[in-house]
Amino acid sequence: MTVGCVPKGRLTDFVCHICRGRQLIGVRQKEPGFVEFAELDSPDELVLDYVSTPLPPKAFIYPPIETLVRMRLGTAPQVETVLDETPRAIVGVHPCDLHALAQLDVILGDHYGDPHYFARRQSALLVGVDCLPDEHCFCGQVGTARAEGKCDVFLTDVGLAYLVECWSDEGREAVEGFGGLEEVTPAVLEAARARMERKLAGIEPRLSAPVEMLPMLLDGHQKASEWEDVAAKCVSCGACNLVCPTCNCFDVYDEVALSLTEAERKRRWDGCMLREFTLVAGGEVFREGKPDRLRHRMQRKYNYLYVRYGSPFCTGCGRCARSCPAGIHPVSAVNQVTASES
Amino acid sequence: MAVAPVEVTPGLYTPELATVLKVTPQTETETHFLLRLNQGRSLGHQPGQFVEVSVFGTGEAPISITSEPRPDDTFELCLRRAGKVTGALHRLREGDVIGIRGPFGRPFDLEQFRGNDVLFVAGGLGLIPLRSLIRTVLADRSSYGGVTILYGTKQPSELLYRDELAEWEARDDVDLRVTIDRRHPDWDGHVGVVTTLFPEIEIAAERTVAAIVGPPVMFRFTILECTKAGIPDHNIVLSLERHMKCGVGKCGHCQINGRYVCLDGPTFRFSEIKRLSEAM
Repeated sequence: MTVGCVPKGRLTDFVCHICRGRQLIGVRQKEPGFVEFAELDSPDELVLDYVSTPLPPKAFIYPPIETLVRMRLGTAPQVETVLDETPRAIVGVHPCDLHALAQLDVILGDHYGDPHYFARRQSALLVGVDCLPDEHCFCGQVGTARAEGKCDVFLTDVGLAYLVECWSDEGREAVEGFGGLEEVTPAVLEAARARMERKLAGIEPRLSAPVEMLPMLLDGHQKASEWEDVAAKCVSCGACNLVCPTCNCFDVYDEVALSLTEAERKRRWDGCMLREFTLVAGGEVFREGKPDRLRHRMQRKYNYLYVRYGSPFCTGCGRCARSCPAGIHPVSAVNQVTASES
Repeated sequence: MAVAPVEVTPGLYTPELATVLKVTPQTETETHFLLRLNQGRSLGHQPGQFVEVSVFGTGEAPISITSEPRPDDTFELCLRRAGKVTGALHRLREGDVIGIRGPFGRPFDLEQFRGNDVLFVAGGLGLIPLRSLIRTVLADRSSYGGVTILYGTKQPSELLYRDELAEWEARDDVDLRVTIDRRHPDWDGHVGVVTTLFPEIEIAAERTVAAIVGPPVMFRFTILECTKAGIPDHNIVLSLERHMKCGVGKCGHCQINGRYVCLDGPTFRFSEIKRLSEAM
């Protein structure tokens, strides 16, 4: 639901208003040419016109390392679940990253709802913003260019102002009471529409088959040998896993306090591109070669989880391509493999 | 917010406390534990399921449950000393308290076995998860047809549950065959890998369900023997090993192609996984 326009000059006031009482997470310039999601000292730091951050905002809902359980050690041990329900506002999230959170909701909510993830998720106000693509982005190819309903408040740059839409009750409550909203004119709506058109037209990487066809096509390319050419460049660094907004795999470990009387059970992001990922106690590694692991990652994003949960688990954000030291782009990889004879 | 309603599982990763009631060394590297949850709840498991076992301050590891479901609320685990957590578990003594999450995973489908001949094939540590099913079947023996147990290890010193093997051996209604991979001075029984026992047994393929647990190489050859004997793929049941870090379909470690061993398995019919390139 569109509720009005915020002149760019009043953006800071608007952000202050909607984020009142919440820890403010937003995009800021860390150094020239480098932006990141971080806790902001002031809304003045907020950057809304950016292409991509190296790490997705996922890190504030599902942190790289988090404590799951606090433990008291000894002959009568005690355990206590640790939940983080800090009210946060995450401002400036692009549609691809909003889709990513919706996809994480599905996998982390399936069968058993992950209490640690949903504690942060349900405590966070999400403020989205539209964007324009760079040469790596391909949201338009995987259906994530628009994010209707996937955040509480959404902003679209319409020139001198931001068009404000509220997509949840929490979003409406957050905006309520802000005095500086201007009327939405037909010219504003036209500007928003034109911007979306420009975004879609600017997307360069093209899947050679519609994304809906990928599960079926990739099913025919399960042999590791078919992935050898693409994997030849891979250096198994796991950067693609690290920066991916939908990667959810983790490792679990204990950390003992110096007192030796207490410990914390933690989880940290893990990556399927690392050889040790499938190691079992007997020494067996189930995806030994780089082609096995690359195949798994691509199949997981465009086939396995797609079939299991009904949407591709890639948002076209392009982070893996931007961060890959070997320059592997998922679209080229999938095109190359599906073009070969199975 | 702006999040679809989800039923959250509180304490999903928080272990329940359990007390070690009895420790029974099995071999140089395997130890058997009798346990009970401290809160008096029954574990409520079915044969084929596993638990995540915590040594507080050391870590957590997925371990198969080796006991059959029973009314007294105790349950049993047996494990090899292999890593940090299993190493710490081997230092446990009676009265020590550990953590348990679970049971997790899809159990063996008893309905599939009832009324049929059952062929158990265990390689090495595979006897541990199979023992739960074997004991369940033997506790209700008249519901099943012929029961054959094939069990192979590398050396005689690796044989688990020797007392129970002797009991099964003594029963008229169980055909137990044990083999050792290579000739050994302490062994005067059958020699050869577990598949070399197949020519010695009779299999009525139309009414036999096979349950196989062992290392990947053993699976490949044993399935081949079962198939050669005419057992259809859906009546060949396996339990696969992966390092499940969460047990609940989140951590990704146990994924085999599109399947999660922790949710969709660890027990699978061969027909379900025969086309999965990563299964074995």
